Amino acid sequence: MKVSDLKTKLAYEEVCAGNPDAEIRAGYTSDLLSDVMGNALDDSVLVTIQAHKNTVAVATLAGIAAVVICNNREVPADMAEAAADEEVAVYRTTKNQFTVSCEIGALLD
Amino acid sequence: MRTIPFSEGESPLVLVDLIHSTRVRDVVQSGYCTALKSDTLYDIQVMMKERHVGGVLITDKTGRRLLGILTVANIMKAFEDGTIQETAEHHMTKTVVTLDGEMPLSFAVEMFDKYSFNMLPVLNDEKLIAGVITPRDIIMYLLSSMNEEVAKLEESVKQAQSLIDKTAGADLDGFAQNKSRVLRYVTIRNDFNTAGKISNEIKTVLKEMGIDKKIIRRISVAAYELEINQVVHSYGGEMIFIITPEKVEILAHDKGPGIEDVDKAMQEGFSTATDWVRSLGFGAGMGLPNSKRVSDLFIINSAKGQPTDVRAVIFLDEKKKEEENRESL
Repeated sequence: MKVSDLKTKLAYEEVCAGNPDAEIRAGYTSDLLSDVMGNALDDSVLVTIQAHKNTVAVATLAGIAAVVICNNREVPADMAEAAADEEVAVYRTTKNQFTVSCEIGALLD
Repeated sequence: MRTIPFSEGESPLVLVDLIHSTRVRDVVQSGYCTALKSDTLYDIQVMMKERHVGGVLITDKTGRRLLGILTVANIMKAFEDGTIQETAEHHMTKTVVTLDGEMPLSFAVEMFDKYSFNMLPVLNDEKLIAGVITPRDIIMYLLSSMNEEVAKLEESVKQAQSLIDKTAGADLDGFAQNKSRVLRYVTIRNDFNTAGKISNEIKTVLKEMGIDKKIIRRISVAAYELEINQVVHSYGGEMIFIITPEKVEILAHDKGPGIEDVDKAMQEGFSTATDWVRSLGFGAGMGLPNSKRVSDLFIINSAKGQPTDVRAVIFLDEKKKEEENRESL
């Protein structure tokens, strides 16, 4: 699936487009950043409620292409700015991490 | 509204350090007014006038558990609506923004910047009222701390200069000839806003050097985790990166307080991080194990009350790695 599928197929709200044509090959769901750092695969989408600038820092370092912020959490302005600078896509949704993981999982299969 | 003139990147390091290393509980003023939810708004406003306060904490009978907050705005509205003889219960603000006493002062500064509150209740570990904090408390605390700091700085301008220089990575002499680079950075306790910056800069440097993507990722992970550890757990420290054609060596050195049980700290899932640090997504207990896993060589030295020193080496060249391994056997 492509990063832009998060918007076109799953209708998540786009906060930062990142690189819309980048390919997503895997997913990782966690709110603990060093767990993400240690275990997420390259070209992943990260499913989390951790709406913080540091999430973008981890995504950049771990090669994560897109972050989906769940449970209708707000994305702080400094997080959106960091995401734009680093070209990491950020989306948000009212759905929870489990539902989002299932939805993305179905697209990845 | 004017924003508070404080920024991570631009403010003097001494001030940034002060705001991050001071805890909210150190700044809290002890005097605050409480009332019960059964008290009338009229009685409460009399008390507010007498004691010259802009807000009252509504508590349970013990006076320690916070139920809500009542401010001048609530009182004015009650006068307008003709509800001034009613009790506080239905007129107080029940969803109150509170601070944890262990949070760095930077959180309080951020909150006052973000909201128009004139005071914020501070709770202790048991979620009981520890006091309130006002912008005035912060000004008083910062002014007296800054007086001390400026005196110290004046005493040792030279030392101050070296502190300021440390904020930016600087090439050290002597390594230029053999295509090696040394980069040095400072980390500040509880500075979560810039945490990750060092690792990112290193990543950029390595990318420019054309190093393999997978190896860059390993170095970035080690650098990030060691950086975050210093921010979360230490009193601050420094990170030195020695980049040679064969390897990248990360030296992470902090100012203490040291790790009581290093073996435990190396176990996945073991963490001593506080609740609010965890709420930011840190403290998974994976930091040291992650950095060890991605390193070819990983040495940690620490003890309670001592600085922590970590040396992590990642080889850029597989052949070199085998040679060094053979030598060390």
